Amino acid sequence: MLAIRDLRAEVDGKEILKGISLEVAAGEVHAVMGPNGSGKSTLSYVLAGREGYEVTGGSATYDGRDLFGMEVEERAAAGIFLAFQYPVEIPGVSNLTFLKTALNAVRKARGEAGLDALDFLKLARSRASTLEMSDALLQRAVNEGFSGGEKKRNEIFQMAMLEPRLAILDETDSGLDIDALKTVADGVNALRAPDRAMLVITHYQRLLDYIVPDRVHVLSAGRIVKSGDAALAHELEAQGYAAFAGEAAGV
Amino acid sequence: MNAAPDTDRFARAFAAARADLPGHGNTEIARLREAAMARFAVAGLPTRRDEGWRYTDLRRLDRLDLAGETARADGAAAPALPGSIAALEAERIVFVDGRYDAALSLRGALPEGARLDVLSAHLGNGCDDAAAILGPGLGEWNGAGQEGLAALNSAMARDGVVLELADGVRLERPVLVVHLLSGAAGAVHPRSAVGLGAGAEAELVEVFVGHSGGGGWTNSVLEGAVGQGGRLRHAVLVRHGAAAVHTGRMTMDVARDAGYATQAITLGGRVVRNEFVVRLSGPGAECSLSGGALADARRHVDHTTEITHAAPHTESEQIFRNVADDNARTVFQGRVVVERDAQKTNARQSSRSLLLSAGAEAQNKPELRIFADDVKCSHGATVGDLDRDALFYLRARGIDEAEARALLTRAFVADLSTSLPVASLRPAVDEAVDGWLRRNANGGG
Repeated sequence: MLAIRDLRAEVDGKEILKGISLEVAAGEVHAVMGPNGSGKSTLSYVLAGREGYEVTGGSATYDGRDLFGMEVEERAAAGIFLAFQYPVEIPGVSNLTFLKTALNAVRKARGEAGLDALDFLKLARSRASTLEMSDALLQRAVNEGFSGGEKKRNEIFQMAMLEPRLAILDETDSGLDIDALKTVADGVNALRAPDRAMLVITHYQRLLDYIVPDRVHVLSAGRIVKSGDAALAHELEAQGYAAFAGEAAGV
Repeated sequence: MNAAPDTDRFARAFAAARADLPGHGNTEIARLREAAMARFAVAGLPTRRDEGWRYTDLRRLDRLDLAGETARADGAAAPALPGSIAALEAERIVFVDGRYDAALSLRGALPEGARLDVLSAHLGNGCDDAAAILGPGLGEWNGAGQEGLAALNSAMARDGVVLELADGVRLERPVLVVHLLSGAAGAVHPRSAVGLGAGAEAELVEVFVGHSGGGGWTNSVLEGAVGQGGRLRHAVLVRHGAAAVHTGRMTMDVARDAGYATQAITLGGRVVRNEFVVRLSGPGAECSLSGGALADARRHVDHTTEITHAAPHTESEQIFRNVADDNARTVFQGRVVVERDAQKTNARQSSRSLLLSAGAEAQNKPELRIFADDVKCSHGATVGDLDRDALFYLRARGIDEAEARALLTRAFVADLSTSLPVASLRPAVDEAVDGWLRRNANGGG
C-alpha cells in the first residue's frame, strides 16, 4: 500500500531524513521508533504533505500513485490520515462542523453521497461514545481548551469517522495517562482491518503493548537502522536507543 | 477648511431641492435647514487633514457626481428586498432612493405610548420637535470632523424614521428600516431619530441594499437617546453596490442604568464609513459596540467609534473584526474618553483584522483619553493572516484549500455573530456572510 524508497527530506535547509526505505502492506501495523530528533515527526509530516518539509530525494508511492504529486487534501481524500502529535486548536469552528465538512469532502472524493445532518450526528455520537467522548466535546471548537488526552482522543475519533486506509499515528501516546492510553489504543485496535494499514510513530515501547505491531523499525539520525518484529520494541526498551545508533554507525 | 467650489456644488443642490424637501412650507423647518447649510458651508466635507479622517478619503465624492439628490427610482430600477430581510418579523419601513415607499412597507399595530413616524410625514405635518431632529444636536456634537456631513444631512434630510417610546413601553417586534438604492448618481441623506423613555425597550435594524454594481452616495444620520433603565438594541447591515459611497453616523446618549448595543456589518460599497458616537451620561449606563467588514476588490471600510464615559460606574465594550481580501483596506479607529468624574469606568476594546491577500491592508488605531484615576480600560488590536497550522490541519482532513479558508474566515468573524444585538437578524447576516465567502474565499489568496 505504501512504498517509501530512499526518501530524503529537509527542513529549513537541514537534511533530516537521510534515505528511508519502508514498505507497508494492507492489513499491517508498522511501528517506527526512535529518539527525539531522529526524524520521526518529519517522516509523518512529509507523508501528509506539510509545507516547509521539502523532499530532496527518493520516492513514496501510495497504492501505486506518486504521493508527492498529490495535494494535502488529495492525500486525505485518498485515505491517508495523520493523527497529529500536536492537534491544532481552531477557535470558532465547532468540532462537529469541522468533521462534517471533512467527512463529506472525503466521501465526495470517493464518489459517495454526503451525509445529511441527522445521519452524520448519529454516526458521530456512536463513534464518540466508544472513545468516551462527551457530547459537549463534540460541540466545542476544534481542540480549543481540550486537555492533552482529549486532543488525542479527538484525533482517533476523527480517524474513526473518516475511516482512512493508511493511518499515521504521530506520538499518539505522548501526554496520555495509562487509562487514556488504553482507551485510545482500544479505539485504534478497533480500526485494524485487512484493508487498512497503520504506521505508529512513537518514542516509547509502552503504546506497543496495547497496539501490537507486525513490524518495528528503529529510526536514528534520519535512517532506519534496524527492523524486526514486535520483540524488537522490547529489546529497545531494555537496551536503549544508544546501542542501536552505534550499530548504525558501524562501531 | 475646504475649498469653496466644493461647498458651492452642494449649495446649488440645496437650492434646487429646498422647495421640495419635507416641511418646506414650515418657516421653522426652513430656517433649521438654512442654518444647517450655513454650518456645512463653514465645515465642508472632511478631508484627510482632519483628525479622524486620516485613513479615509472622500475625494471620490468630487470625482463622482454626488452633490445633488438621487432622482427617485421607479420600482424596476430599485433592487428587490432580499428574501432574508423580507422574512424578518418586524415593523418594516422601506425607502427607495431615500423616499418612503408605502407599498413595500409593512406596518402593524404598536403598543400605546409608541410612536413610529416616517420623517417626511412627520416634518410635513408641521411637527413641534423639528429643532430636536434637524438642529445641531447630537449628530454634530463632539464630532471627529464629521460635523460637515451631519450638517449637510440636516439641510437635505428627506426621509427616515422617528421612533419615540414613552416610559416603560416595549416593542414586541424590531423596527426594520430598509433603504433600497438604485445606484444612480447623486446622494440620499437618510435621517432618523430615536427617543426611548425610562425603562423602554426597542430593537432597530437598518439595512442598506444596492444593486451589485451600484453607485451613489448615502449620507445617513441616526440620533437617539435611551432614557433611564431603557434598552436599545441596534444593527446595521450595509450591502451597497460595488461603486457606492456610504457615510453613516450614529450618535446615542445613554442615561442612568440604560443600555445601548449596536453592530454594523459591511459587505458592500466602494468606500464605507460607519461612525458611532456614544455618550454614557448617567451612572450605570453601558454600551456594546461591534462591527466588521468583509471587504474585497478595492473596497475601503472604516469603523470609527467614540465612547465618552461621562458618569461613574459606566461600562463599554467594543468588538471589531475586519476581513480584507484582494486590495481592500479596513480601518478601525476606536476612541474611549473617560471624563474626570467617571470613576469605576470599565472599558474593553478588541479589534482584530484578517488579511486574506498580500495586497490587503488594515489599520487599527485604539485611543484612550483617561481623565479619571480609578478605571479599568483595556484594548487589544491584532492584524494577521490565516493560521497556516490550522489551514494544514483542515486540509489534512480532506477539506480543500478554498473551503478551509472559508471555514477559518467564518470562524474569525464568529464573535460578531455571538454579539449581534438583534438575534432575529442572524439568519440574514449569516446568509450575507456565506454569500460573500462563496464569492471571495476562493483560496487564491
